[in-house]
Amino acid sequence: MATHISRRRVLQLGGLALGSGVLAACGGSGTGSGKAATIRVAYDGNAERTKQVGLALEKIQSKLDGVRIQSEFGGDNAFFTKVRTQIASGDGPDIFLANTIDLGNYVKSNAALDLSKYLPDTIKTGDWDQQLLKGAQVDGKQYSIGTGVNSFCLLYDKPAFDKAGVTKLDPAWTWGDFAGIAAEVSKANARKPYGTSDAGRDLQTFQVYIRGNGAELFTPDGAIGFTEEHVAEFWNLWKRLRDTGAAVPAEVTAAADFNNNNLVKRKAAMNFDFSNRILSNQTLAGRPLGSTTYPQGDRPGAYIRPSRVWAVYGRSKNPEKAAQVLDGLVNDPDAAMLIRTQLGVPNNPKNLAAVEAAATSDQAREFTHLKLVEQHQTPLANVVFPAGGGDVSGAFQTYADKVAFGKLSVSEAARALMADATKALKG
Amino acid sequence: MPTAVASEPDTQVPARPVPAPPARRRTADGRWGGVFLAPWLLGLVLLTLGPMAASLYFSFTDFGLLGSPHWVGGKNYAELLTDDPTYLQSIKVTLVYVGLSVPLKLAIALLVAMVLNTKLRGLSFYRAVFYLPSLLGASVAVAIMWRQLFTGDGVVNRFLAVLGIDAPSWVSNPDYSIYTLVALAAWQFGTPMLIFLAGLQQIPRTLLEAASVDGAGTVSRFFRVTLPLLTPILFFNLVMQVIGSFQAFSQAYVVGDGQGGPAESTLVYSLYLYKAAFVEFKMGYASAIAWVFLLGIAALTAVNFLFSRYWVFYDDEH
Amino acid sequence: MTTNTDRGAFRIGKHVVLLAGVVLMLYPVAWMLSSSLKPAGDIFTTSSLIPRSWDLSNYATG
Repeated sequence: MATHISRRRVLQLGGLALGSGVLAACGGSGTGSGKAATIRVAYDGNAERTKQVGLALEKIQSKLDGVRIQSEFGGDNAFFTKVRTQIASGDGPDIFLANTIDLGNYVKSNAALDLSKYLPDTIKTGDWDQQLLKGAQVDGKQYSIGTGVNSFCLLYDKPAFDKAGVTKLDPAWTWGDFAGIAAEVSKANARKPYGTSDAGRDLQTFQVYIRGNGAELFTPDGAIGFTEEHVAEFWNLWKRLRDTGAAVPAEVTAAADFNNNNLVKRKAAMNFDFSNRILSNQTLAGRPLGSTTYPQGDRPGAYIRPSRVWAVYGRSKNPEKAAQVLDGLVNDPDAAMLIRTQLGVPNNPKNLAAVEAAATSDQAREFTHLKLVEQHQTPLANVVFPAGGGDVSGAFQTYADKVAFGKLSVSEAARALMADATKALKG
Repeated sequence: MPTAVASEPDTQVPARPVPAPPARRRTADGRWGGVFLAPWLLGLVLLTLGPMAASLYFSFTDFGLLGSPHWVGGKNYAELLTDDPTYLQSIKVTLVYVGLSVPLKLAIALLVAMVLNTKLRGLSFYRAVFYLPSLLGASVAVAIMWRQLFTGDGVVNRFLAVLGIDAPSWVSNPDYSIYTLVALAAWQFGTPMLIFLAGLQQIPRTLLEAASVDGAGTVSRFFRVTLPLLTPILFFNLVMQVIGSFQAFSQAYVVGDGQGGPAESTLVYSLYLYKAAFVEFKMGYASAIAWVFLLGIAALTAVNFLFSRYWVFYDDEH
Repeated sequence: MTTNTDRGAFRIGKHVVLLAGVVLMLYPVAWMLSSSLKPAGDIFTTSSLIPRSWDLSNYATG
């Protein structure tokens, strides 16, 4: 008897609790008047960058009406997985940080919104160099906005070069010149350091290499644009450099990583890097570093590119407000002074001038280097990789490593890469 | 609650079994049992069986996490077995890893257990120390530290240099990186060692004394008395270690720098699965890899059990 | 086990081997502990277990 009553009572109370909970939820969020729209912004970076972007977002929120910004950030690999999983479950962040390598995947599955209708009024790009917008487009549509600009930068060890008597590098130097200099520097320094680190495994260096002779990584309709011969030529160049001791051996390359690279570790006197990393490299190197362009072929292969891109989620519930926040991220002067060049050199000309004026001497090198590259570049129409392009990069690295360790011959590896790359782009 | 219980006075006849309670009470008990079981059952269905069924479904689709899944039938499985050299490489790496680390681990565990099984002063201390590494388990921190120890200019090589040995850079050389992982596994022999120790302590003294009275030397005693009596323990350890080492992931991930080592030399099976799922975002393909994994390990374990009748001696037989 | 093998020398030998094993087992753990107390740059450059300069900041800043 007693048990029956108390059980019913419990169920009654439970029902009441549930009901009032539902009512509360209904009354709460939503698009009722007077309620701010929540815009979720997801971004990755090291501790310094995520802090500064967070502060910039707070600034932007204070200048916008009816917008509440919710920051979501994390470290690298886990971050991308998280964003993709959220998108897969239909709950993607309104704005997310992507890059030119994976944007193609998002566009293909409608996870990135075409922002063309928000330009130039909501996202005020009127006074930008219009070429900068092209870098973040896919198929001519504005599927993202660049966060800022960077380009290819070769850093070299000045003292080691002085020892070899190489005091100045011609920005229009060729790959042949590069190979010669690497050999000289390596000999003059008795391989401590070696002439150059090994860039044979890097797809983007390969891209600059083939563009120097007129080829492209991908065709405009998303297929492979290079041939097996291109790959073999490139890998043979690096094999020669390794075998003659001008470049570091395979084991040394395997022991280094992106941040702790062989130039910083004093194993190599040259490293193929990017302009926005001049400062960090110089800080870690402990000796003066020089910077110049990548070598070229018949023409320069480098191009100015968006360092990263901001995309708006294809199924965002508040695309208009998201566009406003995005405008703040790329145009707001206070936000620009907070983020500085951590997401590339600002696109907005006024912000560019302000950040450059406030730069320290090492930071300023980033700006001067970009001006140098502008004189020695071949602009690229389709910067964003097609969907599946990221997998090509992974396969390129794996096969290059196998060649470096003598597991495969150059021709076998090149053939296997072409097969893998074609498969990756088909899917 | 029904109060009447139909019972028979069974106190005078102890052999007569107590009859089951009547139907009404049984259902009431059953219902309460069901209520208490419900949370666990819900968890089993939602968190284990449900995702397993979903993954089985995905393995027949081309789900890429961003788009929607399209049925492709057995294409993923066919591709795995015929058109994926990296997959075959990962199987090879895993077989080498299991084939080297399990016997090594068990041999060391047995050896140390035998030494500890003597009347030893400080037994508890030694036992604790030898067990400590396996407590640290498959943790990422340990793997990171292990990688640092085995780099070209790491502590291990410096020590070997003192001995005059010019050692390769273990973690940067695809010919040697797998041995780093094997060493890490062998270092964590504590768990099977404890189990062996327990098993050894159960071997009756009298048997060994009788054997030595009959003239059996130490080696003979080991192979004729100790080892046969240990076979059930050995079998248990073998099965558990094989299953565990097939699933090794975090060690390979860290030591191999997230990619499966220089030139895929540490690309163990679960690492390849992870790459397919979370780097290349080919969820359908990864699900197929996972199901082949499950079937493979199940088959191997079944074979293990089948063969056990030929060498495992349970002393409650005949 | 039989007791006639537990003569003095054999027993000492056993302990020596066991202690060598202890060092092998614990060295990596000790190295991990010592690394946690060293400033970042020192971890890969010095090979001794005793930190040259003690730095508790790794524990403070999680």
